[in-house]
Amino acid sequence: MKHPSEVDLALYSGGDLPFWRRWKVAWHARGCPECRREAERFRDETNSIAGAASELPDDLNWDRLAAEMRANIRVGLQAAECVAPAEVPARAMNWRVAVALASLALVVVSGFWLHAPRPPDMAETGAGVVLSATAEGLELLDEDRALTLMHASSEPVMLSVNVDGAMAEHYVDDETGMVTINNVYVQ
Amino acid sequence: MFNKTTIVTAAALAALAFPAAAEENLQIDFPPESPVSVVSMDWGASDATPRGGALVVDLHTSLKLRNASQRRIRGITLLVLAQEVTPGGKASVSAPSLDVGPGQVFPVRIDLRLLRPLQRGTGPLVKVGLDGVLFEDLSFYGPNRLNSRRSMTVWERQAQRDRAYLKRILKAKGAEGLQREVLTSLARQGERRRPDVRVAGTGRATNIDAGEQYQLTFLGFPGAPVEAISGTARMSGREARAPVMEMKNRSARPVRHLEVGWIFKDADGREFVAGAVPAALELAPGESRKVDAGRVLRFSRPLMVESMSAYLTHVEFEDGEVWIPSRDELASQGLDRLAGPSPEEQRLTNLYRKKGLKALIEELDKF
Repeated sequence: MKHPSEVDLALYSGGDLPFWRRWKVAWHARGCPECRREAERFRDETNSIAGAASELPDDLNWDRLAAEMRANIRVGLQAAECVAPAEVPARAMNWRVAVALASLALVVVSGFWLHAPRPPDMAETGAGVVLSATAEGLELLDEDRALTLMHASSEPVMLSVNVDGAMAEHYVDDETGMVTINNVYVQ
Repeated sequence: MFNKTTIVTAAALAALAFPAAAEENLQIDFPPESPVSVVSMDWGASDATPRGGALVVDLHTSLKLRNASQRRIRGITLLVLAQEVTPGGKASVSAPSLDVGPGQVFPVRIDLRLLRPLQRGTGPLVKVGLDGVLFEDLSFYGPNRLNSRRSMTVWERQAQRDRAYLKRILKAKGAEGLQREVLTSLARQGERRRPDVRVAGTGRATNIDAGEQYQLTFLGFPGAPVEAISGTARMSGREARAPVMEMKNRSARPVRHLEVGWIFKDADGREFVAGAVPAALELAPGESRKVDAGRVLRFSRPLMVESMSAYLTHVEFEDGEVWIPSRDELASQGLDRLAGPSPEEQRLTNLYRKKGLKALIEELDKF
């Protein structure tokens, strides 16, 4: 015959066992005088402790008791921290991921820098008229107005720049075979 | 998105802004005593297209002009003004290397594109006038507002020089030698680097003095009437300040104008002519003077320049006569590959490309 453990008997005596285990222990104690006596002994001790607890000493200082309890709680918490498992350091980032992220950041920053609005440079300041050579010809741009002197040639067009503020394109006209020189001057 | 109303409105505005007859947008104005007269004008595919709040006007015209003088014409320059579109600028179309006899008709083509607001002004958009005509004897007619007399004289002197050079080649090395020379020239023209430069209205630099200073190396010619004594230029990022030079007239004739070609050598060792530096000055025989254009060239991107050099492209004397370097002088300094071809060299090499060696030899025989 298998007897219930002391823990189960103690819990049974206090009425703290779940229903099914309480029924099993009660069924066993009914046919087992030894376990029945043991359960009664636990019940008597519980009653005597409860009776003793109801009689508190007259000089009990509740404030001191509360302070001691708080101190014990702090000591317990600190002790728990001491024995807690060590914190696992963050895993080092893979170097390939780091390089990829750095490259991405470089692209984003470069794109922003290249497209960020900036103060107009020398060519756009002052008179506001800018002369440049495009694929079609010489373009004189003045804000919302422009004049382009186009060249009618499929052959190489010779461009020359005059620092006094002029550009010239030399080309041979496809139709006439005549050499033509377009000049545009900025004042 | 465009709807019908937008399209109809834009078309109506375009019709108001651009007359049905394209010629109303272009006015030809030659003086009554002009040695050339207008025979006809062909408008080709001229049209106007609204683009947003602006109007794009394409003017393609071929003028037929007649030599109304008794002398052969070597060059002509037409002044093109579009004051309503670009109050701060003007343009010209030149036809050098001509050989037009009295009474003969020759074409000059003008291809223009104008971008302007839709609001229409009064009068024609473009006015074309005569700036000058250069004759066979290097005499000149015209108001010369663009100094076209000097330009056309330089081109004509270059034309005479290059025809004489090719004739010498033909005589010394035969047709095969001439062909090799022309092919070399065509290759050089195809490889020539275009300066990636913009010119601003002011052309003045703001912080160029903080840039790096370069000592100019002058590529001198023994026969030049003017020599450069010293010169420096500055470069900062994308800006290059025109050289400050000390020039000395070593000829016996007063000089009133000269021009220097400005050569850059980049970090890769490639050389190219960045620009021409003109100087209008009164330089008496034996006199030295500082030349400072005070202008700036601006490149589209920062340029790493290793060194700078310069050479004299032409000198104009007080009497209007012009000196240019010879082919041998240019070749001795390696400038035959750096300096661009003359307009006549372009014309003759193109004639070879289109019509062959025989046509080129026949053309050289005409002069």
